[in-house]
Amino acid sequence: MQHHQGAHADAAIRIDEARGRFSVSRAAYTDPALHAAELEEIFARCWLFVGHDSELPKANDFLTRTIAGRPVVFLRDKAGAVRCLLNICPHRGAQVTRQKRGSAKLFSCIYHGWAFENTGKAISIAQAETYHPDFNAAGANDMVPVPRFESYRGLWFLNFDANAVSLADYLGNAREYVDIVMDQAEARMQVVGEVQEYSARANWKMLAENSTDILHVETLHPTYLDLIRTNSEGTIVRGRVQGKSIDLGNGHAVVERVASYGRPIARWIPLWGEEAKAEIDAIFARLVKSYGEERAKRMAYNARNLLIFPNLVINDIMSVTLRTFQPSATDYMEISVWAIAPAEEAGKPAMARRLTNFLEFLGPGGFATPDDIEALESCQRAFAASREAPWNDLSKGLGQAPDATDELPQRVFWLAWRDRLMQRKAT
Amino acid sequence: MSNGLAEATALLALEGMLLDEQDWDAWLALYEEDAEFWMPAWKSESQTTGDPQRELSLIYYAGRAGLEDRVQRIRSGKSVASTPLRRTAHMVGNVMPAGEEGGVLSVKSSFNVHVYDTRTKTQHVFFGRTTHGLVRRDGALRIRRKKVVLANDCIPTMLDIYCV
Repeated sequence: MQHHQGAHADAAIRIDEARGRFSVSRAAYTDPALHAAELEEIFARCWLFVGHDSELPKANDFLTRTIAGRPVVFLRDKAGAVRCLLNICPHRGAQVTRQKRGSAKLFSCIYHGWAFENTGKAISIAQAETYHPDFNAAGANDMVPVPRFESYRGLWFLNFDANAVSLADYLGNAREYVDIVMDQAEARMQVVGEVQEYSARANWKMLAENSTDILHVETLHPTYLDLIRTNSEGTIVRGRVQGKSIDLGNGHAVVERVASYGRPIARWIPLWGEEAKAEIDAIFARLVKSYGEERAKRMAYNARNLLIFPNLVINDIMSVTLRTFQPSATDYMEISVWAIAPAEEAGKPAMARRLTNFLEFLGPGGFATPDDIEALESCQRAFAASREAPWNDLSKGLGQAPDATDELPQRVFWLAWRDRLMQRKAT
Repeated sequence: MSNGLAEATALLALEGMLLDEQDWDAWLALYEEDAEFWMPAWKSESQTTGDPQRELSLIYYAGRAGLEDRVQRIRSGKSVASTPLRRTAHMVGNVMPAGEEGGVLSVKSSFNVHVYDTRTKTQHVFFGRTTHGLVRRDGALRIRRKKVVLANDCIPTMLDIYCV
């Protein structure tokens, strides 16, 4: 079976160097066997984003999430350490907590009342005297933590593979781009408000492709571009995007380019008024002081769409967002989106500008995201014709000088996808 | 504001009907120029976000101009998520007065909005509670505030002003 899936994944990508053509089989978005292989070889082996540590501001705070289908509790324990426990009672399997968020020093299972400290340590077992004296020896009844749990710049990831490389090694060259986002804050970046959740009747890989796809912006998002061009009084320049897409290794890729819209840190637009200009000039001056002029300009004036393989997107665009998506079925995904902002913006006009920027474009009620989702769902519906029209094309820019609208990030993603699915075959 | 409740009930029914009939200009005309339209996000099972200037909402507009932008997008034919437009049926009920302050009459109501997508032949019901803040202008009630608490907030595909 594993050999079969590896061969299947290999056949899903076709590269014709002579004609500069890179094709992906549409079966890769619809085949249940490949989906099962992805869950095993990608989602049970790669580092998966869980949450940002600012979502747990105080000791004993917890959030429940579903990561690659598994229920987990993302929490800050009584000593302040961030942990991730599988949300399943060691006794008979009930969810140890059924709340979306809360604060708890102890979790007590609804079913038979087994109780746990928020470190996962079992502290009470119903009618313990009726068990063998060594029943609870060596933490045998503790809640099970996820096999690996590590963070980078406040972003917490889990890995279901105990033998995985470290998160830092996995992120590799992508760290530089996480740094350039997190360094924008004077204090630190934190999540603003709550996660937005929505869903799409489309294969998860299409959102991975879409999130670093700059080519579609002009065609799919004209209503957003019209809105910001109107609001920017003509300061938005149409035309070729200046920038490039970069292969960061391990399936990660980024598109970095000159932003054409206002950025809270730090590109002023007339819509925001003269008062905001002074604020944004001050932010820019701080960046120059801390990081030098060249890096400050890059931080302030460039936008970045970063994909961390397989399913974390950090978009540093008109606001900064984190986006992850869960592979619920071949044709269905659940999407979570967070806005992050510097802690020092709290309660200031800068925050209101940032949230306006976010809501104008992003989320299920924005001017762009619904059109993205419709496009992805349209592809998924049309894949019903894939037996007769079997190939998607991702050739743009193949063998050419780098450009921001290349399909390079998508090719990087698919080659990592193929390597992951074939890995088992090789070992 | 004598007989305000009956008048408010009629206004809320009219708003739903205008959205169902896609009579956008008449719908916009129900709103004051400084009308706030706010759909908070949920922080937990029981608590929504409390301040659209500090926390992320699902939809927030500080004035009618934002609603006009949305109507322009719907009408443009350039939003694939809005073309063809979904068909809707608004059911607005349980209209109850919720106090009056500074000439603004607060009215609470519940809604079911049935949304049908002709492309996928699928339907979805958005439901929740709304608080309208109403003022009298030129003898008629107009909307100064609309706060929509969407009860089922895991959103399939998209959400727009005509879905609630």
